[in-house]
Amino acid sequence: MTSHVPLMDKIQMELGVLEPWPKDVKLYQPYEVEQILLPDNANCLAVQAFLRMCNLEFEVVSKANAEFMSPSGKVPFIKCGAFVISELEPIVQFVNTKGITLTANMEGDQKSDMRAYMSLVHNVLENAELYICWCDKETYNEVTKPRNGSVYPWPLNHIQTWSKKSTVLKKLKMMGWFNKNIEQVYQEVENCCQALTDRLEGKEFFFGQSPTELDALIFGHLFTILTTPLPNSNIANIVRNFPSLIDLVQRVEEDYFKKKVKQ
Amino acid sequence: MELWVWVGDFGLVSINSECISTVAYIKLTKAPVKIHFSRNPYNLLSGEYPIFRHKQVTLYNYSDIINYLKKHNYNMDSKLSSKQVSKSYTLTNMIMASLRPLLEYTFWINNCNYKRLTSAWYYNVVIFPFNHIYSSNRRKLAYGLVENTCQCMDRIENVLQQEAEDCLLCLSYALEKNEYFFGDKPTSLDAVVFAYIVPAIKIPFPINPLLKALDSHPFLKRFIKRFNEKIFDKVEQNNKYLNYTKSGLNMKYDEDEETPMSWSSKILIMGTAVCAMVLYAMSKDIIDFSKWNYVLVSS
Repeated sequence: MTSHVPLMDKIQMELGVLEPWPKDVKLYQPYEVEQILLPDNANCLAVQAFLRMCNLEFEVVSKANAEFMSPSGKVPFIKCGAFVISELEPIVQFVNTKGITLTANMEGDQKSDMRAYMSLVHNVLENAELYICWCDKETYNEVTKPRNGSVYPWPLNHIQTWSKKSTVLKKLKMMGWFNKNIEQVYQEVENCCQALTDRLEGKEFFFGQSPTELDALIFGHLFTILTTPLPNSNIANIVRNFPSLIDLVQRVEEDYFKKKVKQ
Repeated sequence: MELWVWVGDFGLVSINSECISTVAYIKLTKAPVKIHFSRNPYNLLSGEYPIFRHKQVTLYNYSDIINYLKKHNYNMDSKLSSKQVSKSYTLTNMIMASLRPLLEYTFWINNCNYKRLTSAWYYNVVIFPFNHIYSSNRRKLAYGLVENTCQCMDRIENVLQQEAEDCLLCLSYALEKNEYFFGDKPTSLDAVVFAYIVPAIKIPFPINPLLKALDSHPFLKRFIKRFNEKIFDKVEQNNKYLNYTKSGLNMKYDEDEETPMSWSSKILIMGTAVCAMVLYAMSKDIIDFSKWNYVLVSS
């Protein structure tokens, strides 16, 4: 999940504070229409939401091979001056070094609470998305396989999809998700949404009036689950049973995505 | 109802965290489960303990077993509010995502721990002939788990320790100064927290990052001690299967940097052996090369 480079961190700390946020920051991700898969899309959207919440300028660049350009092998990643950083948590840390943070007013216990819920979302929603994309036969054949292979010529499309499948399955096996059946996966998603709803308590955002990276992460995952057409829409229906989470998603979309488009 | 778990040592009821949490849950609910302590890793062909059996039902992991017991009215979490259940679910997930990888690293991946303690212990405990293969197979599994968290093996210890510290901090805030996480009665969360921290305290690993991280959380440490005394006070405190002294373990640390034999040297050795055998066979006329000569000449 998180990648820390102690030495790099220190260098970033030293240099980052000196330089303001440059104008030409680029966020690299796979093609949204033809290629991107549910879990990747969720993570890309989460990072976009976070950067917009921080009011930082960036440009989205779609690349077929974004996954292989990324230093950690995961999308999305941002290129900011001389730095290339991938995934949400390291990007949050990097932005913090520029003196920009969404969690300035939070106490230590709230910060650690936030980390627990972020870990929950990574652990449950991300694995559930991976499970549905790669282990559910119908979704795999109808959505995952054609989309993942769409940018490669024959026979590379088959080879690439096959090798990615084996990596994902290995990961799910290690996390104990591979042995679950689809009903258990739905149950986990429901438990996770219930836990998030209980934490949200009908408030505007998870920690008071203003959003944090946790809101960005949840927005990324839930918005993607709700809007991605899949042959089997059970997982979206489960999420729809939690109106306060839907409100949160709509609020973030209104505030940070629609306004920008109008401008 | 019957449960099979790994045998314990070093004052632990079982060597495996998932087994410890299951046994702790069963002891707390006083469910009528007969517990078998096993030394055979390939019992029932599932690969890993705990294994739970009741009538026709066989279950293979902690969460399934707990859910099954809850359905049969052995529920420790029945008095929790829905909010507390959610909190417990979140923290349990965090332990699995953040503490478990560090524990796997401590047991299986750190070279010094693996050679001096883990593999030696399993070699003595696991029954013949599985003791020769179990450790290396299990180590591969641990590599897979840890690779999920961090791709780069050079800085793996730092990354895992950072994650574990975040998790311990979270648990500390949740526990505060209470006796248990939710008031004065133990719940399933207490069993899980206990199971994933106590091996680091009890087992004398030469390299033990989790124990170091625990130093800054005295309440958590006291909680583990209290919980252990309450439930596992009858467990034998001495080590049974492995004769060790911690200083002895530390002294031999330098030897651990030996490099495994590379493929090229293996091929070279094999090639030399095959050549020698062929030459011997030729000199004794065991292989007849006259036909081969004919083929070579005619072509």
